[in-house]
Amino acid sequence: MKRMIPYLIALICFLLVILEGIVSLMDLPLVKEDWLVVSHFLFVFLIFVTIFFEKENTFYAITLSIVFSFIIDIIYTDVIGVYVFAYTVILYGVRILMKMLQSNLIIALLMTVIAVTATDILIFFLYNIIQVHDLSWHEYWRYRLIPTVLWNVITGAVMYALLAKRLTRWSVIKFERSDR
Amino acid sequence: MFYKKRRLFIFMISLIIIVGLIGFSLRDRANLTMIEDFVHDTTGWASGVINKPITFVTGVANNIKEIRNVYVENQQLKSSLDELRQLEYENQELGKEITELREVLNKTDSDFLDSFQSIQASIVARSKDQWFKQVTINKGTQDGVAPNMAVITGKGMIGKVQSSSPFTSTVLLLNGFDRSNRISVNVYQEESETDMSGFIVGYDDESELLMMELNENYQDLKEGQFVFSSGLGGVFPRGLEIGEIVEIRADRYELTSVAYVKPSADLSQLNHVIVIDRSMTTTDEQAEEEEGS
Repeated sequence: MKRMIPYLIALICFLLVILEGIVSLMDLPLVKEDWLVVSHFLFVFLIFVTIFFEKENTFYAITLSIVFSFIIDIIYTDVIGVYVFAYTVILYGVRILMKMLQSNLIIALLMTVIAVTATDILIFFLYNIIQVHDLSWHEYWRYRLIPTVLWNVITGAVMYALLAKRLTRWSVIKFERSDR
Repeated sequence: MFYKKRRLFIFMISLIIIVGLIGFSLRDRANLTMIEDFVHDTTGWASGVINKPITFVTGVANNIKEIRNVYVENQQLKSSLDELRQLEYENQELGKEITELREVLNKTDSDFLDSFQSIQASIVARSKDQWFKQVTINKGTQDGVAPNMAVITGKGMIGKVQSSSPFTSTVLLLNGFDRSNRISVNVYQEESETDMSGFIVGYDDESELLMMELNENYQDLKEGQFVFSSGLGGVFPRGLEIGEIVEIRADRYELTSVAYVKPSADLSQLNHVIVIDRSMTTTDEQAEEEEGS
């Protein structure tokens, strides 16, 4: 069990990456016509891994972020490297912040809001620099940023309910139990 | 001190690698690397598997919604069935005429749609980043899909194959087209025998319409005319329906007019598509052959 846990987390990451593509195929309820909603499932999950699973000297979330955001870049975009950079840098920031903060529901959701906002803005600017889109900042925050953050906070709450306890338990099994 | 230095070092190195990767992927590449092929195929397969139960559930929900409209639809369908019969007869007669005329001319190959192979495919995922107008389909080079093939639904053209791996392919949708991959088109005129020709040059994000530029300044350009691919340019076959003109404006210099075309196919709701395999050699292939020889 102890050795299986990282692979289990990696499997969840893989499924979330695939879900991101499938969810964007569907019409989400309550989404207005001109809103653009982007699911950052993998990223939200990795924030939770950082908050509930990670220890001082382990780098599971960062490693998983590099591997799986590389996959996101390959299958969903033409440009390789943007998601790898954005996800990993922001996750590193979350990691530093979490050294000072407690891990509970409020903090987890707050971190989701801050981190998703930061990543999406970072991705917006990176794509702007390499001229993938020419959206104005005003249009961007109104039609894409706010819906995206709202949607990801909702998924974050669902993920908290499903996985937070489990991640804490796995963390105990993995790092603190010496038997087995 | 040493620890801090090392961290900075790692950060700088990874920054260089990422900039290199972005630069590498921004080049115009026709073929994907082996790693990309592998990732595309594994994730494509997995999303195909996960998609099945999801489409089943949404399908059932849609069916329940549709049952309510069945009566009204049935009436409409009955009336259009009569028209269809007439069309079928006309089609048959015209087909006969075409074959006769072709025999007279000794022309064997045709550039029309029926001389193309079609590959049925389903869409398994859409780009999560809405800035890339891409979808993934579950057919790849093993099934005969190759880059630059046109992709259509029953209603009209939706885009072209951008890259293909052995078992999955990426399709660039019409609303992601820009000047580097434009489509040569004809505008169908009812009264005159010749069609007006032009190019689809891009997509207007604000109005969500395709922009079409005409080769000459035609006077007869009207709203409501239909736009078809012309088969010129050697990438897309002739006769694929693209859309309907909804607006005509003068361009920046008032020299030519830009027509705005509403795509016939619904680009946001896609499930099953057909990839059109153009059996004639395309200009790209010819160029490759020339290079090879």
